[in-house]
Amino acid sequence: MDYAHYKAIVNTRLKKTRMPIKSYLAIPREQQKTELENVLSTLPECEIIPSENKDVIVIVTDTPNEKDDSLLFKKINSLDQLDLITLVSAFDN
Amino acid sequence: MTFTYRQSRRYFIKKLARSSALIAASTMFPGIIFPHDQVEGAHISGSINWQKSPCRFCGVGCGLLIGVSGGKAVAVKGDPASPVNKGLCCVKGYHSVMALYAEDRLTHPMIRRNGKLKRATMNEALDLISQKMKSTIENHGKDAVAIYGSGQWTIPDGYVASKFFKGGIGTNNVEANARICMASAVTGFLTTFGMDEPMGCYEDIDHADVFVLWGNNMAEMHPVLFSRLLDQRLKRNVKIIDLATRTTRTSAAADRSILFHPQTDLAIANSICYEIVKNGWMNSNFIQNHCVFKSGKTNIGYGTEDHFAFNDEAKNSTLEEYKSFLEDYRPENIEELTGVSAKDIKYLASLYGDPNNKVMSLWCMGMNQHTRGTWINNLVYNIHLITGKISTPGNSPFSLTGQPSACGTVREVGTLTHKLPHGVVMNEAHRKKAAEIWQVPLENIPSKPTYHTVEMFRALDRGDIKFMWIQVTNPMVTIPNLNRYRDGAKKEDRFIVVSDVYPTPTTDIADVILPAAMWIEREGMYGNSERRTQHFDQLLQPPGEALSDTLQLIEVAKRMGYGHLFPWDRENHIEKIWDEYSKFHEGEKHGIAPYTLLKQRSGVQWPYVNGKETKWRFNAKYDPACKGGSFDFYGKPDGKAWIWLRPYEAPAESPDNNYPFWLNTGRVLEHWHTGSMTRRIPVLHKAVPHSYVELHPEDALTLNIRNGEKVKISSRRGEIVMTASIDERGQPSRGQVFVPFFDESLLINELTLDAFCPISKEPDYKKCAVKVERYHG
Repeated sequence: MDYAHYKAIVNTRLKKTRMPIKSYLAIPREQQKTELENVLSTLPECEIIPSENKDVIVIVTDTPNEKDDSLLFKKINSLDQLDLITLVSAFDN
Repeated sequence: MTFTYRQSRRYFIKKLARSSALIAASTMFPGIIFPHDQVEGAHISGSINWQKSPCRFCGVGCGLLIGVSGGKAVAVKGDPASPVNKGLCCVKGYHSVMALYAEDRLTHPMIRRNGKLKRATMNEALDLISQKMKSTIENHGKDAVAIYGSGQWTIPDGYVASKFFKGGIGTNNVEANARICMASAVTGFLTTFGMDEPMGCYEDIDHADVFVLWGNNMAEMHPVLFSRLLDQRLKRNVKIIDLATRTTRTSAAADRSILFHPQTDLAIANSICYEIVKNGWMNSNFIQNHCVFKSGKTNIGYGTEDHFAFNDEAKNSTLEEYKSFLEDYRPENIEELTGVSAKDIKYLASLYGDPNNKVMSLWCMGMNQHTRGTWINNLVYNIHLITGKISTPGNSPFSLTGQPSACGTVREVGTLTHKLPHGVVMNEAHRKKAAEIWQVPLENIPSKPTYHTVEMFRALDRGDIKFMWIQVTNPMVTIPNLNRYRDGAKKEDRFIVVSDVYPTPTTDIADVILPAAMWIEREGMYGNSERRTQHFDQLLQPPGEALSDTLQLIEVAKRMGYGHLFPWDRENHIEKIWDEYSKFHEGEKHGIAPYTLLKQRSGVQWPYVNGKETKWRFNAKYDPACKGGSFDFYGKPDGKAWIWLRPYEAPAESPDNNYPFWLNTGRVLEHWHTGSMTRRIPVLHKAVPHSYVELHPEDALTLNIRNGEKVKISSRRGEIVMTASIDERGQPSRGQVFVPFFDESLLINELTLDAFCPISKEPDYKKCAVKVERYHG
């Protein structure tokens, strides 16, 4: 990579399309873990890893842009089966 | 190629996200189980190798545990075994490992050919650097080459730089950016106590009843330590007083916020002493047995002219002269000057004077980046000395450090023009010791200092320095009066080598760029604010051809014929360097821990004597270096600390009709220094994407500026357009503006003034005069 290429990366860092990848911990309402899993697994930009022995679901989201990321989060956050969601990590690509 | 790179990178990031969440879950829910097939390829706590390291960022020196898996740093948590942070981190610390992996990481050397930087091999680059150094020395003399390093150098980096340049080449052109952050703290210590670095430690926080923060936005600048203050307030009802020139998050959290006019901390400190004397709160016994009084020169200038020289002269004084001197600082007499009511000064004095209070004073850049930085450090020590509140648990004047190893490397190794690892170049005995340990002829080590940092860049501009090697710092963002020094560095027949991890405005002007191994990609040690040396192993392989600053220096030294000074193997060179360096600090006053112990523990404080850390210096109860059974300020020949008669003097440049505002610069929580690392961490960059200018709402109203609008700020040296911030994170006082300096696209140091403390040579980044206008472009 030559220096001009490095600088191009720096100069476009702010402008380039963000493709957010985020991970969360989701806590379902009491006795609604299976329902929450079922709903989350229908969302195409969501990967879920439910715990086998605790009421915790790991969610990894992968969206093409910030707008979609925001919409997806709102969708998840509004699920009746969800009690609490907490962001663990957030990346742009 | 690009497609494959992006696919691999995205896959890695998703894996990182998944791992982070699984680790968080396993920390919060012990015993949690996830389906094996779903976590295959991800890593949860059982399969991650956790290893200790100090944090990469500030001078607090938090201990971290870095989670490494598959050759990558995948997670961070606080090290519960670290007595510094006890498992807590700040937002920068928690995201620190992400700074290793931004897309534009420098992986290969670059050489400027026909005006353009082109990729080269490491051997090519190192050969060119050594040829250039040799020819520069042959044609222009040893003092035509220079190295400018950093408080973010590891201890081995700084030691090798010092040995190479001072012991090998024979030039004192060795400086580091701690000159522009901590030099006034150093000269404050040396002029008052004869020895550098705090006498107390962070454990003072657990004992103090009152914390007075002098011009330090500790909530953002030393957040984990501030958390410890807040924790004490929850447990013990302690008081936190914020004494500052602007309102910040620290002010909001403090019990009392007292605003003062810039530079007038000098008068306030004297006024507090006046009240202590007047009310009979002095510890007369302590003063008589452990202190003497001194006065120095006054009207000492500001260093704005090239070749500025100043030598102070200490004259004996007396308690009676001191009392007479303080008469000018009656609280009522200085209300208008300082903007602080007599009532508030008396309140501050009562906190210090109350014999039942243990008081900790804490400060950093507000007092150090000050044209009378040495003086204000002296004056805060005066308060503690005349009350005897020093060197006992909780009674502690504590100079906080900005960088992770400004203490460990720059101050303790001595990577400044006048310094050696033990002592100063001007002292023959100190040079003899260095010559003996380094095994170089005594005459190799020059006896005269050359240039401090600002003067070094002036020398580069003038052409007295032709070659400069810059490592792990970004002066093309941080040097005050930047336009002059950037233009100077770009002049014909200057040769600039820059070692760094990412492209910056400093690599932009380089003739050679060397990619550096970053932090845990190499073994090293840092030394934090409380004299704690912390070791870290190499946990990762550096990318591409990146090489540690230590090895870069050694490789160039070898090519120049100084290989005999660095005879170590790569496998154990850090241990060998430490063993050799330790010889400079043998003894009870500065003994340092052995290498094997540093590897085991989450940091060891010095002095380390007979298997024990000295937590409180200069008090025989805790410090084995003391003679007699009481206090012994053994840095001074007679064991007595110096109480200085230092007056208020105005700053170099104050607001006037043409430039009616003060400009103050500093940092924000989320960004480290010039942002070259933290702005590449997406969540930190998103939190504060650009710099801005804070205005007081009434000033904004007068200037017809609303929040978020564009503002032009001009000084006698430059101008800049940036976005206004009104009533957001911080609020300057009326007639002041504040700009954080982390944004390389908004170079506020094009406006600042290269005035400095004549004693420490540290520039003042907190006070110059600007005008502010609404921008209509």
